[in-house]
Amino acid sequence: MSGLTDIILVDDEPIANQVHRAIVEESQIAPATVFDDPQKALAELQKKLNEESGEILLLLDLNMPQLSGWEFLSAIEKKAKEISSQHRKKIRVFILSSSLDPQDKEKAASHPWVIAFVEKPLTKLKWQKILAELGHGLNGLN
Amino acid sequence: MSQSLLEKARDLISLESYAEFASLFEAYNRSAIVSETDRWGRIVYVNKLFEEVSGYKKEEVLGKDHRILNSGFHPKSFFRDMWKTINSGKSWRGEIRNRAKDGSYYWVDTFIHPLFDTEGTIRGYLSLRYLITEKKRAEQARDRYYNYLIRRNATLENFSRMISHNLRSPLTHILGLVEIFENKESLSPKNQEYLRLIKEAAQNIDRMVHDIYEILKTWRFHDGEHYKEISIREVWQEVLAHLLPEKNQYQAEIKLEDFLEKITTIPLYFKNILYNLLSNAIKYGKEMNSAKVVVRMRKMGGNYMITVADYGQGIEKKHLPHMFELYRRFQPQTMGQGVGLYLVKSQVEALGGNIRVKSKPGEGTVFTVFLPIIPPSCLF
Repeated sequence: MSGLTDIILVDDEPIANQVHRAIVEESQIAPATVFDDPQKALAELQKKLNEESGEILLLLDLNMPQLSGWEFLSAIEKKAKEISSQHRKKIRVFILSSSLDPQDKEKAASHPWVIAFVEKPLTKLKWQKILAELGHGLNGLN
Repeated sequence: MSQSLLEKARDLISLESYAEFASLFEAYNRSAIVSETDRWGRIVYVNKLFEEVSGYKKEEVLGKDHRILNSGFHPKSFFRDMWKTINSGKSWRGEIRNRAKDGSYYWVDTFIHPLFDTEGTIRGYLSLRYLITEKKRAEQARDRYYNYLIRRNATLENFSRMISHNLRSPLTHILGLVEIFENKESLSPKNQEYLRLIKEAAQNIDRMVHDIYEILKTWRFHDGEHYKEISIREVWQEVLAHLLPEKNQYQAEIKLEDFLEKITTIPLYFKNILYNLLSNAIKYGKEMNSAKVVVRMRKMGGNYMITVADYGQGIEKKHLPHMFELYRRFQPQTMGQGVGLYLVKSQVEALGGNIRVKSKPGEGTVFTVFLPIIPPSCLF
């Protein structure tokens, strides 16, 4: 259906990443790469942007001391502007955060790149919903 | 207004008028610290109270200006503005901190009025001052305390927010890990049950963290801009729509007997208050197989008065004083987390109002909410 080639998970907490990875990998949609360090994730993502086809699914935490989720998105946006949209990968972003701050939810709703705000913990049900949003509903599953 | 004026008056006016004039003169000399200057600000007269309060004798200040009392507290612009005002022929009033001869400070509420000659030009200035040192001290103490409380409150709010956030993050890990294990066939039924209990415990903490967030929201300072005029009909329909599941489950009959067309309030709070009270009344108002709830809204005194009555099992008297406490539940057979009424009370209080409950076992319960018609735009 759609060409999801990469799943990138960014969270500064290793336990969160382990949990998310377990749930994401179970569905075997696309290879998942997990980053505890948002800076490294950013470098990887900027590199991947240059690949010509496919889609990246980004699950992004917000409260990270090194680089907040919002700063992360701005940096990606800046990079994306340098490449014409036909010649770069598409990034689909879901915020995955434990924040209860309504401001974060509002910001997510109004951010053009963010498809949805997902409140942690990620569950199998929430993961199914994310896939459905992407057009990877049950059909996409083996 | 010197002593010589009084003497001149004695020669010019009738004895009766003089007696009245002298009394007025006495009254104002006793109540106020009086001084008079020429138009350059040089002191030409001070009364007895001036001498007592400042510690200077008349002879020490005559011919000098008021700068000898300057305590250095006010900026130069303060006195510049004062002079600008009185020079233009207007009177001036302000609070000044002066320094007495012995170095101590005193505050005076000062009224300065220009004195005109027969040509209408300013020949000098008359100052009447009233001692307000005590009032000023109390004010300063209050300000210090007030600032301390503001700071402390902000710190506590941040602290609660931080704690609940930092609690929530590891909590989501537990819930996530449980999620991975759940329904794994390799788990024995016993272990499945343990896992379910872990999940339940973690979910309970999670609910509390959410509640803390909701409660913190109601603690914010609200001013006029949060208030809006709302239509009761619309709000009523909206709240009823939210209550539909409970309404059906308990086969409840909800009646709005008296109502107001419009009220001015913080809409979200008003809806929450109404929703929670109705939801409670439906759940606890069950009598036989169906629940009946009656709502009345009217104006009383300076308040909107809203009552929500059910005809259910009622609440035992010993429970009533604890109705609005956090995580208090009185009927274990009904679902609920014990946060609803606490939130209602917080929101009613944020609106400047209060809430009461009356109940008789076997007859029902009435909640009465009073909300001031004029929003509390300011706390003081």
